[in-house]
Amino acid sequence: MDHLKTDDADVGGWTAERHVTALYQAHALSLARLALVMLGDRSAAEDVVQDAFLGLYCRWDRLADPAVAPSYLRTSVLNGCRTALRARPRHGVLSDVHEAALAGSSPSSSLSLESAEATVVHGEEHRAVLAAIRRLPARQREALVLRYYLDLTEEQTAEAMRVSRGTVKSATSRAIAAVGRMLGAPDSRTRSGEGS
Amino acid sequence: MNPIEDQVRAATRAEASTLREVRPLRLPPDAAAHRVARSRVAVRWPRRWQGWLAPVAAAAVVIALAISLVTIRDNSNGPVVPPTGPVPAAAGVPEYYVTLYTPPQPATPTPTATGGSAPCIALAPGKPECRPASPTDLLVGDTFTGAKVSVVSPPKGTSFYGVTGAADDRTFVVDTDTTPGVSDVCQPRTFYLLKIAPGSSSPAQLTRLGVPPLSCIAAIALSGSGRELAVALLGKGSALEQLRIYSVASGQLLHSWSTRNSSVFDQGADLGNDENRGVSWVDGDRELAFPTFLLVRGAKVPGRNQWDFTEQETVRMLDVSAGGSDLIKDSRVVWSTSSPTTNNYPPGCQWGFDPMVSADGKTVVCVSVNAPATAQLKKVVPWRLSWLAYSVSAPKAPPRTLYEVTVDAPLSSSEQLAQLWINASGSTVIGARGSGFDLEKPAFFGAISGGAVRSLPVPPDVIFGAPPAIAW
Repeated sequence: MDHLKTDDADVGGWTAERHVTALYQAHALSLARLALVMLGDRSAAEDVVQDAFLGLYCRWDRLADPAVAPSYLRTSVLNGCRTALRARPRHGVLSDVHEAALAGSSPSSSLSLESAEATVVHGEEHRAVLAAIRRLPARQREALVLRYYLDLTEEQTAEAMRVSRGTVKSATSRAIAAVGRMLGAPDSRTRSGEGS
Repeated sequence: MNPIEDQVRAATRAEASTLREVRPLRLPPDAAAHRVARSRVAVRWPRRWQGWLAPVAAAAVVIALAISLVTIRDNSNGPVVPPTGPVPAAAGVPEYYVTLYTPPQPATPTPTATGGSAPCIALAPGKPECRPASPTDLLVGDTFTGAKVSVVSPPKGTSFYGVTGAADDRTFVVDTDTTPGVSDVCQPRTFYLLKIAPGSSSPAQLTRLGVPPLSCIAAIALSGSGRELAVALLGKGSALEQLRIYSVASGQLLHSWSTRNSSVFDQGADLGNDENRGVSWVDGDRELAFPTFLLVRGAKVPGRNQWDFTEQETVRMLDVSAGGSDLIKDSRVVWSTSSPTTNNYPPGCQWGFDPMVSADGKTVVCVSVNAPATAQLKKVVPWRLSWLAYSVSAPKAPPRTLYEVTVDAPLSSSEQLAQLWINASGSTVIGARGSGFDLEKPAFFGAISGGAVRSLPVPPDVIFGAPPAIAW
């Protein structure tokens, strides 16, 4: 009657599937929004979230405490965002919408990173701010999103980023300063030269 | 609340609100098979991985396997894992360092006014539910043995924030954050002189300096003689970027230069606290070297609404005895480099990471993290990790490689280098290398001299997600 034996792993699989599905229903949208803010690309954001849940599913048996699954998922999503960001050219290659926002003019009709709805909602100011955020080094951007989008404390942000509290403070401060420059000072936009 | 913070909060939330649904979760059949297979294998991960759970999405297993297959090739001298031992005396590595240090805290919930616990988030199994915030101390350590010489607590209600050292390895200037818990580089810092006397009954002595509290600090640098403190200030609002020199003895402002050119100083790629590598004293404290970082837009990418950019980096030299007040006009470029952004990890100096200038003014030392251009993140590629030295007298000449290793690792891994200290001639470097996803401890921390490397004990609190706030 071997075929009637219950395989513990299969039982675990059912449990994992049920739990992960429930977690998905509860947290997928908020995590996707976090990834969207980080990446500026809805499709990529959803991919990152899907991958995070898939990773959790694969490791469910090794999760000592299911209660930490939501925070584990957030860390997974952040890591996924870092990986996705690394796949892009550094700093310099910007879409029309970002350049237009930085220049304070209307973007062209080709909005490669935003939906039409997003374009309406954001307005010029939001677009400029988002464009500035996306020009930040990845860790600064991450610190900014965790601190001001998720409203995490410095301590929680440090835990999520796996860096020291001082680093969070420094990264956040420099990010705010850099965003301020990009939004305000003319020479903080894309520059074509410097003084001699 | 800073208006920029408000704008960031509003913009990110507005963008997030545009996403109102996500596609259904699909667990492919092979994922279930994979999960079952893993459950039957007693995999014992190294301790440092247990709390982290290797969470890089669906690619995690592939990447983890790839990491386990990482190989390191030593291209220049010495073994892959350098022997621990004394650095040759000629290298002149200082005996003591001062670093920011957060003592280990008990994992106890933070009590609140209502008697409950502050809301905290556990991020991994085994992690404490909450850690109370604690001030950052200073640790004086022995470079070669790792022994703690002294731990210095900050004045009540403050945390130490930055540290910079003179050439004598006994004199340091540190600053404190007077408003712990507030994320703003423009909160005022208060400066102190730290004199260390290892082996004495008073191994560390802290004295308040007369330098006024300063805000928006980009970098600090104590002169080799310990008599002058250079402070680079970020522009904010109508304020300009500034470079100031204060007398350590009197706190008096001796010189000040400013500019509207915001490409000066650290642009934020380094995440150190009050960066002590962003400004260098050279030539017997007669000149100050500082970097500029610039993105220059190039051609439009054919068929796409994108442009290529070139990353430019320079080192400028300022004669502090010549007077003047314009940071750009009164300084000169002594070294420059540029690279296109078409490759994520191009050869040459890593853009945005402060190059260091030797005290004799003849050498610029930087780190290079170079990997082939490919869009395949999971592909294992050779990472060439180097500490490079450029001659200021021949700035266009190829750099001298002080040390280089090649690491075979996925492109998605996070290979990082840092240079933390260089000697007066630029021939000896204290550096660190972070590897893969384990950003907590460096894969290498040690001294590089004459093409050889020697491991040094890793100071506590050196987290390699960012260059550590440490000074010699």
